[in-house]
Amino acid sequence: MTESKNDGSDWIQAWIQQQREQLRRAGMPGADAASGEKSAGGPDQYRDLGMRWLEAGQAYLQGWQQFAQRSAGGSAAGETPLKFGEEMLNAWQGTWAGAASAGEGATRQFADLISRLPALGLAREQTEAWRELLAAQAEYQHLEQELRTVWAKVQTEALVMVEAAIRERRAKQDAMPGIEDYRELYNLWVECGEKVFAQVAHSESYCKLQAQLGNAAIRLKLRQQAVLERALKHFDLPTRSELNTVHKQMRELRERVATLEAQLAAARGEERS
Amino acid sequence: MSESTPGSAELAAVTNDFMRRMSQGLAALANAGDVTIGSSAKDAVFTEDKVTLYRYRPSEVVAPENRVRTPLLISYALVNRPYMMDLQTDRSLIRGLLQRGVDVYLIDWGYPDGADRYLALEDYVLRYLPHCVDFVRQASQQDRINLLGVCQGGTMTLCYAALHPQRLRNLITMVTPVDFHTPENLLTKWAKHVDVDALVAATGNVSGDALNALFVSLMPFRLNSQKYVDLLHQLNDPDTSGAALENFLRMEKWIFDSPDQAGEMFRQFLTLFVKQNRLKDGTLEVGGRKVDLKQITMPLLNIYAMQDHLVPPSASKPLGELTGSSDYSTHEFQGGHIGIYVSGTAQRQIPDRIAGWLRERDRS
Repeated sequence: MTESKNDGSDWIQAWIQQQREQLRRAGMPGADAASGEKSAGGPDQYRDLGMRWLEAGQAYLQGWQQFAQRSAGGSAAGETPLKFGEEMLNAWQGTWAGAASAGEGATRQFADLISRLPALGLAREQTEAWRELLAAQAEYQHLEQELRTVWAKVQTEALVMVEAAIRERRAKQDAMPGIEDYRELYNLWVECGEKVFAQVAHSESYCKLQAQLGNAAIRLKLRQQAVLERALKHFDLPTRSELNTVHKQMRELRERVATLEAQLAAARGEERS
Repeated sequence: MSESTPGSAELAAVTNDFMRRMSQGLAALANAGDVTIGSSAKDAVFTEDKVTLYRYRPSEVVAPENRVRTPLLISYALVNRPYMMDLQTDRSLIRGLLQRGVDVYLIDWGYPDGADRYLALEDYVLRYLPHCVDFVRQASQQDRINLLGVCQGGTMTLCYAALHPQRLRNLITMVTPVDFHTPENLLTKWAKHVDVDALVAATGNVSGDALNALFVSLMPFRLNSQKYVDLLHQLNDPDTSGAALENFLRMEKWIFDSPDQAGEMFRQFLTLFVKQNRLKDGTLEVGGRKVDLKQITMPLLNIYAMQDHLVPPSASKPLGELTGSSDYSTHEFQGGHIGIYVSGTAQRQIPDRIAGWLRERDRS
């Protein structure tokens, strides 16, 4: 089998250009905004929450409206005791519907408002738990994006290093062999990538960012667990926290048994002697 | 990139060649069967919870007068599986030791599950390890035995040796970190800002898969991509034997067959050893007892790998100045953290070095 041979000129440059283009599309900062795609950050989460609130609010108000209409049907016209309430409900429903149809901007404003309001009422605890979960998710996604940006920079700089290495080889054509096939170029890219990454990976800023992302992932998981455990308790199903309590108790008991056994063995030894 | 871009046609051609070779390699890979692990016969001789102690059957071809009298107990790391020590017939430190007359025991720490999340450092250093040591002492009818610790298992053996020096005749550490704060130690730098208390609170045990992802990300270009590209290219080579593919697959099995880490033990190890460097500083306590490396007075052989990216030599070398042993030797292996067990050079050097060193001190 033969592999394509080349003196390492145009096709290598074409490859580097291709890689740059892919990086630009995939991960470089600003690429998402340019393509018009949704950002991965927090506002989407709040927007989703806002939409859910809108849907729930509309359903709630529709229920009340039906109740009001049924009640009004049993009274004389113009003397509906719930007429005032019905008007109010209609006004509220109009507001909710307006918010829903006003487009993303209004929804976002609403969601922002919701996110800043203190949790209230019967669902206060659940709301707070969900809000914390969403905040943790937003934080995680933000940091993940930051890390992706760093990785994209590593790849970009690796390409710059590849170019420099190729120039050097060309300059020392007699002493150094040129790039002859795709795999050689690939291996050079790997070598350059590892060199650039090693420098970045040892830097304090990278260590901090990676740890921040890890810590954000941990917080997100803890928030998810809190929401899940609440649901499990609702169905009287065991939770991890309860198992932890049991395991801790078992461990303590085991240690106490071991201590007592040691004391017993020592006492028996004393008796024999 | 448009087709008219200079070089685009040539790039398409070389890319196609490359992809064709990759595809052929993939086809060959699809024909690979399962791989077997381990080569030497062994018997489970003691168990406690999920811990199993194995004794390898001594080699029958070694004359009694050439056997090392004192048995050797190997304490492997918690992070990977101990069968790395006996991966296959021609890649086995244990087989090499058996062939040189060493009586080998090996601790398998098992796979911790959710019920083990509160297992702590003292469980490993003051319970499991001592119980295994005592079993070997009793079975061999010797007061003192030889102990070999590997990587994190070496760190634990140092703690044990400092607390129970009277039970050990000789101590060997292999790629064992002692000073976790040397500039080359990337894992420590990455761990520095991690909230390990919250991590363990959130995950309980720490997933072996997550740790693998961490280890692979130390050299992401090589370990996520290049090694597989290399494999697929090698599979196109008619000179590449099926054994090479089997070796690769066996290694993949070992690398990714990673037990979860008992949560509390992980938390303590990362906090006390990695972040706070207490073993080196002399401020470590296990079960309320101070671990003083100066208490290690038995002969000590410290083996480290010069190209180790996980436990850099600078993390192992300080042991010489920290220990109280007056018979301290080192062996510098020219290779990496894994090559020290599986490379051809390792097969020639390491068993010889260990068995020879033990034999010299066997009857002292």
